Amino acid sequence: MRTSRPISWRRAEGRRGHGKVIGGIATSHVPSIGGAIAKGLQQDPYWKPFFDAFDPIHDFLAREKPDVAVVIYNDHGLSHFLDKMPTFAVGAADEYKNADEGWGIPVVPSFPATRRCRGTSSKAS
Amino acid sequence: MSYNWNIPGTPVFGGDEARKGYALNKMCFSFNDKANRDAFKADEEGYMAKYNLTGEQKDAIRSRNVLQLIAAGGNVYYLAKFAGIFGLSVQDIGAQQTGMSLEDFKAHLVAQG
Repeated sequence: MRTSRPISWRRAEGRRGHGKVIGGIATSHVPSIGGAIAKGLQQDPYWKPFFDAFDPIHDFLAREKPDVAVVIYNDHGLSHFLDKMPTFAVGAADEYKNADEGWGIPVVPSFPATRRCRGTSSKAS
Repeated sequence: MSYNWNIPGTPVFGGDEARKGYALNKMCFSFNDKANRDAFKADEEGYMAKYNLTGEQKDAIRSRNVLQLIAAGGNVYYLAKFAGIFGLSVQDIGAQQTGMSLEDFKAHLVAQG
Protein backbone atom coordinates (compact mmCIF):
# COMPACT_ATOMS: atom_id res chain seq x y z
CA MET A 1 0.00 0.00 0.00
CA ARG A 2 1.44 3.36 -0.98
CA THR A 3 0.69 6.43 1.06
CA SER A 4 0.65 9.71 -0.79
CA ARG A 5 3.48 11.94 0.34
CA PRO A 6 4.53 15.45 -0.59
CA ILE A 7 7.29 15.28 -3.17
CA SER A 8 9.54 17.58 -1.13
CA TRP A 9 9.46 15.14 1.77
CA ARG A 10 10.36 12.23 -0.43
CA ARG A 11 13.28 14.11 -1.96
CA ALA A 12 14.51 15.36 1.40
CA GLU A 13 14.73 11.84 2.68
CA GLY A 14 16.38 10.59 -0.45
CA ARG A 15 15.77 7.09 -1.65
CA ARG A 16 14.79 5.32 1.52
CA GLY A 17 13.57 1.81 1.54
CA HIS A 18 10.24 0.87 2.88
CA GLY A 19 10.19 -0.89 6.23
CA LYS A 20 10.91 -4.59 6.14
CA VAL A 21 8.15 -6.88 7.32
CA ILE A 22 9.88 -9.47 9.47
CA GLY A 23 6.92 -11.47 10.56
CA GLY A 24 3.29 -11.79 11.50
CA ILE A 25 1.93 -13.03 14.79
CA ALA A 26 -1.66 -14.12 15.25
CA THR A 27 -3.39 -15.21 18.41
CA SER A 28 -6.85 -16.19 19.51
CA HIS A 29 -8.30 -13.73 21.96
CA VAL A 30 -10.93 -13.93 24.65
CA PRO A 31 -11.43 -11.51 27.53
CA SER A 32 -10.44 -14.08 30.14
CA ILE A 33 -6.88 -14.08 28.79
CA GLY A 34 -6.41 -10.52 29.97
CA GLY A 35 -7.70 -11.52 33.37
CA ALA A 36 -5.32 -14.50 33.48
CA ILE A 37 -2.35 -12.27 32.68
CA ALA A 38 -3.39 -9.69 35.27
CA LYS A 39 -3.73 -12.38 37.94
CA GLY A 40 -0.50 -14.15 36.95
CA LEU A 41 -2.23 -17.44 36.12
CA GLN A 42 0.05 -18.39 33.23
CA GLN A 43 1.33 -21.49 35.05
CA ASP A 44 -2.12 -22.51 36.30
CA PRO A 45 -2.99 -25.95 34.83
CA TYR A 46 -6.01 -24.48 33.05
CA TRP A 47 -3.91 -21.77 31.36
CA LYS A 48 -0.45 -23.31 31.02
CA PRO A 49 -1.04 -25.03 27.64
CA PHE A 50 -2.19 -21.72 26.18
CA PHE A 51 0.59 -19.52 27.53
CA ASP A 52 3.40 -22.03 26.90
CA ALA A 53 2.71 -21.62 23.18
CA PHE A 54 3.94 -18.03 23.40
CA ASP A 55 7.50 -18.95 24.48
CA PRO A 56 8.79 -19.18 20.87
CA ILE A 57 7.10 -15.84 20.17
CA HIS A 58 8.91 -14.19 23.06
CA ASP A 59 12.20 -15.67 21.81
CA PHE A 60 11.50 -14.37 18.30
CA LEU A 61 10.74 -10.85 19.51
CA ALA A 62 13.79 -10.77 21.80
CA ARG A 63 15.99 -11.91 18.92
CA GLU A 64 14.56 -9.74 16.13
CA LYS A 65 13.72 -6.64 18.19
CA PRO A 66 11.19 -5.14 15.76
CA ASP A 67 11.01 -1.36 15.96
CA VAL A 68 7.43 -1.08 14.73
CA ALA A 69 4.48 -3.27 15.60
CA VAL A 70 1.31 -2.88 13.57
CA VAL A 71 -1.33 -4.16 15.96
CA ILE A 72 -4.65 -5.23 14.50
CA TYR A 73 -7.32 -6.02 17.02
CA ASN A 74 -11.06 -6.29 17.54
CA ASP A 75 -12.67 -3.31 19.22
CA HIS A 76 -15.36 -5.38 20.97
CA GLY A 77 -17.49 -2.39 21.80
CA LEU A 78 -14.77 -0.37 23.51
CA SER A 79 -14.42 2.57 21.12
CA HIS A 80 -17.07 1.92 18.50
CA PHE A 81 -20.78 1.52 19.05
CA LEU A 82 -23.38 0.08 16.66
CA ASP A 83 -24.19 3.51 15.27
CA LYS A 84 -20.68 3.85 13.83
CA MET A 85 -19.16 0.46 13.15
CA PRO A 86 -16.58 0.53 10.35
CA THR A 87 -15.22 -2.80 9.22
CA PHE A 88 -11.73 -1.39 9.48
CA ALA A 89 -10.36 1.75 11.12
CA VAL A 90 -6.82 3.01 11.50
CA GLY A 91 -5.59 4.90 14.55
CA ALA A 92 -3.32 7.86 13.90
CA ALA A 93 -3.10 9.47 17.34
CA ASP A 94 -0.02 9.62 19.52
CA GLU A 95 -1.58 7.51 22.23
CA TYR A 96 -4.80 5.83 23.25
CA LYS A 97 -6.27 5.46 26.69
CA ASN A 98 -8.94 2.80 26.68
CA ALA A 99 -11.74 2.65 29.24
CA ASP A 100 -11.41 0.00 31.91
CA GLU A 101 -14.76 -1.70 31.11
CA GLY A 102 -15.09 -2.87 34.69
CA TRP A 103 -13.06 -6.03 34.21
CA GLY A 104 -10.79 -5.26 37.11
CA ILE A 105 -7.67 -5.59 34.97
CA PRO A 106 -5.12 -2.87 34.10
CA VAL A 107 -5.83 -0.78 31.03
CA VAL A 108 -3.39 -0.86 28.12
CA PRO A 109 -0.50 1.50 28.90
CA SER A 110 0.10 4.43 26.55
CA PHE A 111 2.46 3.67 23.70
CA PRO A 112 3.26 7.02 22.12
CA ALA A 113 4.03 6.79 18.41
CA THR A 114 7.78 6.86 17.82
CA ARG A 115 7.07 7.65 14.23
CA ARG A 116 3.91 8.77 12.56
CA CYS A 117 3.42 8.04 8.86
CA ARG A 118 1.53 10.70 6.99
CA GLY A 119 -1.92 9.82 5.79
CA THR A 120 -3.01 6.45 6.99
CA SER A 121 -1.00 3.48 8.11
CA SER A 122 1.14 2.16 10.86
CA LYS A 123 1.56 3.45 14.35
CA ALA A 124 4.08 2.11 16.85
CA SER A 125 2.20 0.36 19.58
CA MET B 1 -39.81 -9.55 11.14
CA SER B 2 -36.38 -10.93 12.01
CA TYR B 3 -34.47 -13.02 9.51
CA ASN B 4 -34.57 -16.67 10.56
CA TRP B 5 -31.04 -18.00 10.57
CA ASN B 6 -32.39 -21.39 11.61
CA ILE B 7 -29.39 -22.40 13.74
CA PRO B 8 -30.75 -24.46 16.64
CA GLY B 9 -30.09 -22.97 20.06
CA THR B 10 -28.21 -20.04 18.56
CA PRO B 11 -29.73 -16.57 18.43
CA VAL B 12 -27.80 -14.61 15.80
CA PHE B 13 -27.14 -10.90 16.22
CA GLY B 14 -27.82 -9.31 12.85
CA GLY B 15 -29.24 -6.03 11.60
CA ASP B 16 -32.72 -6.70 12.94
CA GLU B 17 -31.39 -7.49 16.40
CA ALA B 18 -29.14 -4.42 16.29
CA ARG B 19 -32.18 -2.20 15.71
CA LYS B 20 -34.27 -4.00 18.32
CA GLY B 21 -31.61 -3.92 21.02
CA TYR B 22 -30.21 -0.45 20.29
CA ALA B 23 -31.26 1.21 23.57
CA LEU B 24 -30.20 -1.77 25.68
CA ASN B 25 -26.80 -2.03 23.98
CA LYS B 26 -26.31 1.75 24.10
CA MET B 27 -26.81 1.67 27.85
CA CYS B 28 -24.40 -1.24 28.25
CA PHE B 29 -21.83 0.57 26.06
CA SER B 30 -21.89 3.36 28.65
CA PHE B 31 -20.64 0.84 31.24
CA ASN B 32 -17.18 1.08 29.66
CA ASP B 33 -16.66 3.92 32.13
CA LYS B 34 -16.64 3.53 35.90
CA ALA B 35 -18.65 6.70 36.55
CA ASN B 36 -21.52 5.26 34.54
CA ARG B 37 -21.31 1.86 36.21
CA ASP B 38 -21.49 3.59 39.59
CA ALA B 39 -24.46 5.73 38.47
CA PHE B 40 -26.30 2.59 37.36
CA LYS B 41 -25.63 0.83 40.68
CA ALA B 42 -26.90 3.88 42.56
CA ASP B 43 -30.16 4.11 40.62
CA GLU B 44 -30.88 1.29 38.19
CA GLU B 45 -34.42 2.37 37.28
CA GLY B 46 -33.41 5.98 36.67
CA TYR B 47 -30.43 4.95 34.58
CA MET B 48 -32.51 2.61 32.41
CA ALA B 49 -35.12 5.34 31.93
CA LYS B 50 -32.40 7.74 30.79
CA TYR B 51 -31.54 5.34 27.96
CA ASN B 52 -35.20 4.73 27.08
CA LEU B 53 -35.06 0.97 27.45
CA THR B 54 -38.21 -0.87 26.42
CA GLY B 55 -40.25 -2.73 29.02
CA GLU B 56 -38.85 -6.04 27.78
CA GLN B 57 -35.30 -4.76 28.07
CA LYS B 58 -35.85 -3.39 31.57
CA ASP B 59 -37.27 -6.74 32.69
CA ALA B 60 -34.24 -8.48 31.21
CA ILE B 61 -31.83 -6.15 33.05
CA ARG B 62 -33.71 -6.68 36.32
CA SER B 63 -33.60 -10.45 35.82
CA ARG B 64 -29.80 -10.51 35.18
CA ASN B 65 -30.65 -13.42 32.85
CA VAL B 66 -28.37 -13.62 29.80
CA LEU B 67 -30.79 -15.47 27.54
CA GLN B 68 -33.47 -12.94 28.34
CA LEU B 69 -31.08 -10.07 27.61
CA ILE B 70 -30.16 -11.62 24.27
CA ALA B 71 -33.85 -12.11 23.40
CA ALA B 72 -34.37 -8.41 24.16
CA GLY B 73 -31.73 -7.58 21.53
CA GLY B 74 -28.62 -7.55 23.69
CA ASN B 75 -25.23 -8.07 22.02
CA VAL B 76 -22.61 -10.00 23.98
CA TYR B 77 -19.88 -7.37 23.60
CA TYR B 78 -22.05 -4.84 25.42
CA LEU B 79 -23.68 -7.34 27.78
CA ALA B 80 -20.17 -8.25 28.90
CA LYS B 81 -19.76 -4.74 30.29
CA PHE B 82 -23.05 -5.12 32.18
CA ALA B 83 -21.85 -8.46 33.54
CA GLY B 84 -18.62 -6.77 34.63
CA ILE B 85 -20.62 -4.65 37.07
CA PHE B 86 -21.35 -7.82 39.04
CA GLY B 87 -17.81 -9.16 38.70
CA LEU B 88 -18.90 -11.69 36.08
CA SER B 89 -16.82 -12.53 33.02
CA VAL B 90 -17.70 -13.61 29.51
CA GLN B 91 -17.12 -17.18 30.67
CA ASP B 92 -19.83 -16.66 33.29
CA ILE B 93 -22.11 -15.45 30.48
CA GLY B 94 -21.29 -18.52 28.41
CA ALA B 95 -21.94 -20.80 31.35
CA GLN B 96 -25.34 -19.23 31.96
CA GLN B 97 -26.21 -19.44 28.26
CA THR B 98 -25.49 -23.17 28.23
CA GLY B 99 -27.07 -23.87 31.61
CA MET B 100 -23.79 -25.13 33.06
CA SER B 101 -21.86 -24.15 36.15
CA LEU B 102 -18.80 -22.01 35.44
CA GLU B 103 -16.45 -24.91 36.22
CA ASP B 104 -18.38 -27.27 33.96
CA PHE B 105 -18.36 -24.66 31.20
CA LYS B 106 -14.59 -24.16 31.51
CA ALA B 107 -14.08 -27.95 31.41
CA HIS B 108 -16.30 -28.03 28.34
CA LEU B 109 -14.11 -25.39 26.66
CA VAL B 110 -10.96 -27.36 27.47
CA ALA B 111 -12.55 -30.53 26.11
CA GLN B 112 -13.20 -28.77 22.82
CA GLY B 113 -9.45 -28.30 22.44
